[in-house]
Amino acid sequence: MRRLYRFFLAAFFESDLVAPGGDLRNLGVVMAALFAAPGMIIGMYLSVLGARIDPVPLVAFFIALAMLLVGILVVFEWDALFPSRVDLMILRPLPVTPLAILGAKLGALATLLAAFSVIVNLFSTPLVPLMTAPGNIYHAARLAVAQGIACVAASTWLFLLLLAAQGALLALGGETLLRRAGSTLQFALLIVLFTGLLLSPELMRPNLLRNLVAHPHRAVAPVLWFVGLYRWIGGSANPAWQALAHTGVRALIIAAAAAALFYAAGYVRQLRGMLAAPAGRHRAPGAGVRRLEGWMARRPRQRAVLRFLHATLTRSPRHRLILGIWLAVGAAFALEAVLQLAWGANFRDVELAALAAPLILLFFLLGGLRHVFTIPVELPANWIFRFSETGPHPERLLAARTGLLLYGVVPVLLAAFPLSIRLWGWQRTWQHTAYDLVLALLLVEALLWRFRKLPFTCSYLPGKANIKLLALLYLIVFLVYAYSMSSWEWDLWRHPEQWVVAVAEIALVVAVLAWRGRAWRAAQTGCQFDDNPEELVQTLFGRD
Amino acid sequence: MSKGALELRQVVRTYAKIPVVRGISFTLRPGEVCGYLGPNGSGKTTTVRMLTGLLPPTSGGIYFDGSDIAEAPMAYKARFGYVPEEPYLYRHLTGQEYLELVGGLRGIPDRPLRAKIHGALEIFGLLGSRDAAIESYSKGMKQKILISAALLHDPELLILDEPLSGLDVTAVAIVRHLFAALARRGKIVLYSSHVLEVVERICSRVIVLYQGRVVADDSVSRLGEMMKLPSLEAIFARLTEQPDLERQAQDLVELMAG
Repeated sequence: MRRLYRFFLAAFFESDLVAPGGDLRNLGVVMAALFAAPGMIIGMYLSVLGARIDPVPLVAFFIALAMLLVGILVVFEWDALFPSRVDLMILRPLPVTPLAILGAKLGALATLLAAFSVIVNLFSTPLVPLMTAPGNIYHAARLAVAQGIACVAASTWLFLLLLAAQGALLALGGETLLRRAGSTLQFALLIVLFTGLLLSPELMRPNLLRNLVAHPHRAVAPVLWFVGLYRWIGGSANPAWQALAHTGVRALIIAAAAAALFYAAGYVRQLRGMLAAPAGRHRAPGAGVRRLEGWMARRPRQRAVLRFLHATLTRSPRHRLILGIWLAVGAAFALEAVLQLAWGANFRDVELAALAAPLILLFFLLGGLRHVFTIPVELPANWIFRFSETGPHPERLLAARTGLLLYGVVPVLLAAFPLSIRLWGWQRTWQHTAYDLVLALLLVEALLWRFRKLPFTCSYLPGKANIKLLALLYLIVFLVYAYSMSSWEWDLWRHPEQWVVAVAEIALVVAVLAWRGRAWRAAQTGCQFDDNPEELVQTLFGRD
Repeated sequence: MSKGALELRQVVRTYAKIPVVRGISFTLRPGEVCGYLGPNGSGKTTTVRMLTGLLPPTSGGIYFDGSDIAEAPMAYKARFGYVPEEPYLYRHLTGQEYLELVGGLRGIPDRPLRAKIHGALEIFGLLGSRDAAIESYSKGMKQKILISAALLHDPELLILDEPLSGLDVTAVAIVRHLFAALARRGKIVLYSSHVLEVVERICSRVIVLYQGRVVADDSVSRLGEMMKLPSLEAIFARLTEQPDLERQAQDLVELMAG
């Protein structure tokens, strides 16, 4: 049982998504530092400000942060929340009871949650009360306990709720439903959680929290339940906080009961269905998509790579999740901008946010696609791409570009179109779409500059690039691309002749880049599969 | 050298200065079905790696149709089909999609490709499973997909590494006849296997490899006559200095029984 428990615990860190290099110790240290950092930074900041600030909004922020980070953890560990089919296929023939497997898995989950809660609240829980209530150790200790309990209760509530959701999906529709609906749910959760992360510092504004508590529908905000719990344990006699605390406790009990019920039901279903075929039929792309692919990729090799790209993007959970993270961050930025402006902005700012939103989404979607292209799917299966490389065939390399256009540029521009018509009418919408299109094409050319890989076919995981430098570069490009360019567009609208010149200039740059790219692709003798071509990297065979 | 022949000339391959293949030479002519045999570690897989262009020989050369395959690897790839030992496939694709991918990568236009795929799936009894994910396929079904994929571009040389593992009786019979039909059309079939009974029945010629060297290269009947042995299994055991296998099995049972 203990061995099994350790096995399940280690499995949380073993996915390629969580630990691409498999270096668990380094990964653990980096993650712990990352999650503990907000508490430490704000704690240090408080040591400067001292008792001059109200701790309640700060605690509200930390409660929200604990919840959101646990939510993101659950999304990342989505496939490891239940014993998998492979686990059961290996363990069931051994003398291990289903109850022992369940116990080990639940123990591992509880340990993960506990360790995570400790790390997230490590600095904030003692520092906030010590810095904001100096001189009264008893009171500070009581507030620290209250804050710790509230943060852990909040994150546990969300953890249990998501566990119950996955259990319900599994119990109702087995692994098939979990795969299909689960990935949509994961994606939706990522958007909500990342948007929440971006907006959570707003809670530190004292007026906002006061207004929220005074709101008649305050009981629908989970963060407030646990702020209420903090205030109640901390000794507040305010009936509003007490009522919220009671709601929080009730929600926690309900979530625990639901998690127990659905987890058990899901586990039973998993045990019964473990011998069933793992996957059903794949839905082929619709006739419209097929026709569009055929139109955009006319040569067989280009079309083959493009269809492979489509199948991988729509079916590989790992690639979808990574792309989902990129898109969710982009959606969160776009949504955050819109929400910020909705809370009292003038029309110019609303227009600017609406202009920036498609560029933000384009940046993150195209960047995400470019990133997932370098992550291999079924590493040992890429031999077929190597063996079928019977000439330079630049059209194979061209497929990545077509993929970015088809699955990145087209959806964003189509989605933005109705919103633009509503805001600005037809004429300006065409203008805006043309402007976004040339910028999107510019980004596509930049992202695929000297890109000699076929999507998803490399023999190695990305990660040798200088991440810090790359992140800084991406940040600068993002700020310029999304915000400066939308601001420039807004200015250009006032001068139509300048707008024409600007769009023509960008289009010219795109054309030059595309022409250079085509010449470069034509000069390539083959695609790049290995990072460092050497014998040991060959992936096709086992040993002699 | 005859037109369209595959020739290995004194091919040597070493790993970290340890020789694995020690000067192999043989020539396969169009229309030959050749069994390539050898115990584990004899250098069989290394030879297949070199034949498929994945690994360069340390010395010596491999020639197809008179040209060194190292000089024009792309052109060579277009002329051979390969069925690997392990069924490494993209599991998230369906059988049909995988064949479309391979055909597309080989540059076969859509219409003839669809006809070829439909025919291959029908012959192998996979039409009903063509839209199912490959991950739900049995090993035999995966093997059928790999064999179909290797044939799509009508290669002149077919290199097969244990192609029959997991296949049902009907499929084995089809593949056996397939080899004969390919040979009649002037293709070369190099068939690497451990299943001696099948090699004996299918192949017009066998090459036995032992400790990196070719220790026999002839038809099974001629080898049997020369060595005065009744079967390929007996010939193989003699050539590769197999120990008393029954004794080894008995030792293992006794070891496990404590």
